[in-house]
This record gives sequence, C-alpha cells and structure tokens, in this order.
Amino acid sequence: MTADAAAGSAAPTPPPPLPEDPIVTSPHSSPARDALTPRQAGERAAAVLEEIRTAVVGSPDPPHLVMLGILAGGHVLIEDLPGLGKTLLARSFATTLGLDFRRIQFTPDLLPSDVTGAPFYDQRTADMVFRPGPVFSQLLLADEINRTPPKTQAALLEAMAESQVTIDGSTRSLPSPFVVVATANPIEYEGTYTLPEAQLDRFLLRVRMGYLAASEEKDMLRARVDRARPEAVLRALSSPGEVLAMRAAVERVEVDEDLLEYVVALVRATREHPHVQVGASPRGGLALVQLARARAVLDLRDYVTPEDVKSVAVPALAHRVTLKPELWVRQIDGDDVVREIAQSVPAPQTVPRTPVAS
Amino acid sequence: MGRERTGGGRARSIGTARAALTVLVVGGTALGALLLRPDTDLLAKGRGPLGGNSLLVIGLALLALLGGLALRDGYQGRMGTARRLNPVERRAAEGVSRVLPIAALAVPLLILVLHRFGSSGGGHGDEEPSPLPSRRDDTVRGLHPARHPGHAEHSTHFGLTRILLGLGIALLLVVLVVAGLRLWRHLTRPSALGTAATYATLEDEEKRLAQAVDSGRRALRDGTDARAAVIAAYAAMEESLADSGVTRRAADSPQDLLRRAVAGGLPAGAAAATLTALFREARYSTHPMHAGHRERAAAALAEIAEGLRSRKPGHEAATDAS
Repeated sequence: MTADAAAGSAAPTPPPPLPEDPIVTSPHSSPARDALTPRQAGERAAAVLEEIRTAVVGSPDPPHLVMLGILAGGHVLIEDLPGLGKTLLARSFATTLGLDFRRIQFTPDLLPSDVTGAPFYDQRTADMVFRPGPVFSQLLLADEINRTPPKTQAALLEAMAESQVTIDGSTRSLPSPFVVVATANPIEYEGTYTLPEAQLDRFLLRVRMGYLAASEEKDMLRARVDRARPEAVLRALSSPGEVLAMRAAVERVEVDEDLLEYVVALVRATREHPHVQVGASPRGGLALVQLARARAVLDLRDYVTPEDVKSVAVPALAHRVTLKPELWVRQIDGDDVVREIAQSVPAPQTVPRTPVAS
Repeated sequence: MGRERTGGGRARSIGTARAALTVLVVGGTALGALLLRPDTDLLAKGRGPLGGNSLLVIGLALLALLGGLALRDGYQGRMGTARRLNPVERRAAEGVSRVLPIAALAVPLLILVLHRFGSSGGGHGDEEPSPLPSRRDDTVRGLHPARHPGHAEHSTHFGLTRILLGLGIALLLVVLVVAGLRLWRHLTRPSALGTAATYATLEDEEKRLAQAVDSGRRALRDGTDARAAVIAAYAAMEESLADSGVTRRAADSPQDLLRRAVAGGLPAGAAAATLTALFREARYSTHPMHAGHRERAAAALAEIAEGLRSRKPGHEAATDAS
C-alpha cells in the first residue's frame, strides 16, 4: 500500500482519461453550453421525461423527482424493494440525457478501489498507471449501495460532495456533470448495511418507487409483450453540455424572501418535532431551495412558489431526519413526519409584508 | 370580518345541532321513562303511565326502525364522500357501518319483544296494581286529612291530571319532532357541502361573496400599481372562498386552496385558476406587472362573479337534488 502510494505519486502518469477531461461518449456532447432560459430548460427536461415514460411505466412522480435532482445538481437515492424498476429508471436517464454511464453493483466484498480506481504497475513501461474506477463517469448508478460495508460506501463520499477523488495523495476531478443515482433496499431488508447519516445527507433527495397500480402493472406487461424485447430502446435527447446549461438555468430562478423564510421554518420544524432525534441539517435547506427551483423550471417558471417548496419537502428532507428509536415500532418513518410538518408549518401570507412595486 | 361571520355562522349551526341532539336524547329518555315504571328496579315487571298503550309502543318501534335506517344511510353517505381517513378512523367507520344496521333492526325488535301486549290499562289491572295511583291517593289523603274524599272529586282531579299529562306528552312529542328535523338537516348538510353545493349556500353568504368580488374589482379599477391590484383581487377571491366555507389554512399554498375550492364545487374554476396563476406571479416574482395582467385578473374576477350570480335558487335546488 505504501509502496503503491509512493509509486503512484512519483509516476509521470499518462492516464487515459485525464482528470480534467470529462469522459464524454454521448454523440450529442458538446463543450459549448448554450445559455437556456428556465422555460427552455423546462421544455427540454419535459421532453426527456416524456421519452423516459415510454420505458418506465407507472407513477410519473419518481422520474419527475429524479429529473429534479439532476437539474438541481445533486445526487439521487432511490430506495425501495427489489424489482420495482430502480435500475431501469437510472439507466433510462443516462441514455436519454446522453450521459456517460457506469454501473457498480455493490456487494459485501467490494473494495473502495473498485469504486474509485487504483494505480497499477505497467510492466511494459515500468510505470505506475492509474486506472480510473467506475466513479469516473457522468452518471454513476450505484446499485444496491447499502449492500456494501460502510468503508466502501464512504469511498463515494468525497466524490459526491466535491466531484473529485483523492487516491494515493493525488486528487483527480470527476467529469462534469457528475450524478450519482444510487439505489438502496429498505434497511430492514436482510443483508444490508445502514447508510450513515453523513452519506445520506450527501444525497439531494430520496425517491421511493412504490408498487404499481393494477392497471399500470398490466400496462407494463402489455408493453413488454408488444415490444418483443426485454427493454425499451430510448433515444438520447440531450447531452452533457445541455444538462449543464439546464443546471445553469435553474440558477436563474428567483426565490422570494418570504419563501426562504418558509424553507428555514420547515427545516427548523424538523429539529423541533417531538418524534425527531436529529433534524435536517442546513444542507437540507439548501437542497429544498434547489429542488424547488428545479421544480419551477419543470413548470416553465423562473420564480419559485410555495407549492414548489411544499411538494419537494418530503423527498428533500425525510432522509435527513433521524427519528427516535421507539417510533420504529409504531411504523412511523421520516416521510410521515416531514409530511406532517409540511401540513402544519404556515406558508407565506397572501399579502406580502413589504409592498413590492410593479 | 367575513371570516368571522362565517366562523360564527358555522359555530351557531353546530350549536343548534348540538342543542337539538340534546333535546332529542333528553326527550327520548323522558318518553322512555314514561313507558317504564319509574319507582321500581330495572327487572321489575310492569310499565309506566303510557306502557299500556300498545299503539304508542308499536309507533315507537317503527320510529326507531325508520330512524335507524335513515341514520345508517346518512352515515354511509358521509363515509362515501369522505376522501381521506386514517387507518384508525377507517376501522372505526367500518365498525359503525356494521353496527348501525344491526342496531336499526335490534332496537325496534327489542321494544316489541320486551313489551307485554297481554294486559292494558296503564298499570290499573287487577293482577298488578300500579303504585302510582295509590301513591297519588295517599298524597291526596295526606294533604286533606280532614276531608272525606268524595268519589266525584277524586275522579275530577284524576281527569285533570290525565289531561295535563296528555298535553305534556303532546308537547314533548312536538319538541322531539322539531329537534329530530333540525338534527336531520344538520346531518344531511355536510354531504351537500362536500359536493357541488358548496356555493349553493344561504342568500346572505352569496351577498358576501359578491361583496368580496366587488371589493377586488374596485382594487383592480382604482389601484395604480398592477401588482398590488392583482394581489388584492386574489385576496378578495380568498375572502369570498372563506365566506363560503373554504377557508385558507395556515399551511395552504395557493394551489392547495384552489384544489380544495374546485373539489368543493367552485363555479368558474378556470377563472379561479387563472387568477391564482396571476397572483403567484405577482406575489413571488419580480416580473414587471402591467395593465395586461390587471385586465386578465379583472376578467377572471368578473367570470367568478358571473359564476356566483348564475347560481339561482332554482339551480341550487336542482344541484342539491342531484
């Protein structure tokens, strides 16, 4: 290990993908970022969602929320039972957004270097060469992330928080955009390791798939029979450059002062709720604001409304609160608590406190 | 102001219903007491002053049957319109739904089975003399020990008592019927409110709605600031909704309020949606607001006003009936 580290730091390193160079394989990729208005960004995102719905049957909410997470520049945790289409959803986004896609199947024996990559000795050149791991991609599907021990889970922490990895003392940037879509089984499920709070907090939002309604399930079966192949073929409708442009458009969405106070009130309410042991962090407030702005973009607006904040409160905050242990017996989870908070914290008043002129 | 009035009106309505229910329960208990023997224990055989009237007992059983069936129908109707019930409420509702039909049949059946149709005379039969007349006699004797109670005087006094008793019972029945009618109105009204008749309310409520809309229109006409005018128009609509029973809750967003109002049968729902969208833009964006926004808000408010006016009493009746 020490020898590796020393060799790694001394190596001249002609790595195949330079840290500064994003790994771009999409035919639509272009470094030029045409500026998009929030409305244009919303229209393109809507087209992507429409394409994804041809493959992902069922409630429109999970794809919608994943799209919000991508637009808001965050990472998405999809948590639910096996077989509900989590992986399909993530892969569909990678294809349709035209992002370079890698997948890691997390297992109990997976090592951190399997995620980040590691230097190896090239006998021909007698040099240590860095071989990038799957984390060097634009959309990383971390499948069943809670099936691997915390050490390997933590290997993703730096990557998710700072879009870079440090290996053997050398820091390498990840491609841009970099999105982690992780899937997880519920913690009660056998053979899983609970994700630590610090890592959960790195996910911008948590999405639950849920079972399909009977009619939707039948539609899914019918679609499978009709297309005569295992999975639907999706078109790439976007590119990494366009994803970055859409993210830039989200940054142009304005947020009223009263709405910021509303966000703070929601976050603080999670800390004061009697069922909550540890409330949402300030990062939760940031997530709430960014997701609300992304929702405004999807709704073709360039300003946030209370509905935007309210509708993303549960996915943005529920995984950031730690409930008191006794509530496990009562089958109360974070979603219930945050939903109750959203229904009780006063929204901004009709008439603004400070008059605004036209 | 409007909200206070509405809140007061609802509180009055609930208070009246509670009073009616109280009168019904107390009156029913009193009537039951008249049918039983008041001075003996529960298992004693015999009956009260009205116990011998088989017709009354059968009528009471029939009333209990019809009342029970009506109550069951009303309850099932209300549960049918209730959108969200938590698991505890759902279980309770299922339990009540099962108990109500059984009770509707069991209560009249028990009334008929437990009544002794064989004897008559209100406790004056030979085999079981009622203590009531004896006590009355004793009392009369105690009050007038010096007199010799003549047969004619006794019968006159007894006849007067019976007349007063009859009048009292008649009065009690009238009170019970009125209370029952009031309770029936209260029980049937929420289902009407929950559907299309939210706005098919009392005439004074419609006046208040129209006043609220007018105040919003005045704000649109008089104000020089388009943003403030749009917000004022929305506030007027919000007030009119509150007057009609769809009050904005503290945690409600504009969309939440609109959704509840439309679900409650808001006339001109599209106009309300337009006004809500304009309000959101005026309230939460820094977009320049100009005369065009003001005109659209005015048109939406006018459409809402028209929707309110078009709800004639005949139309309301038809809506209620449907």
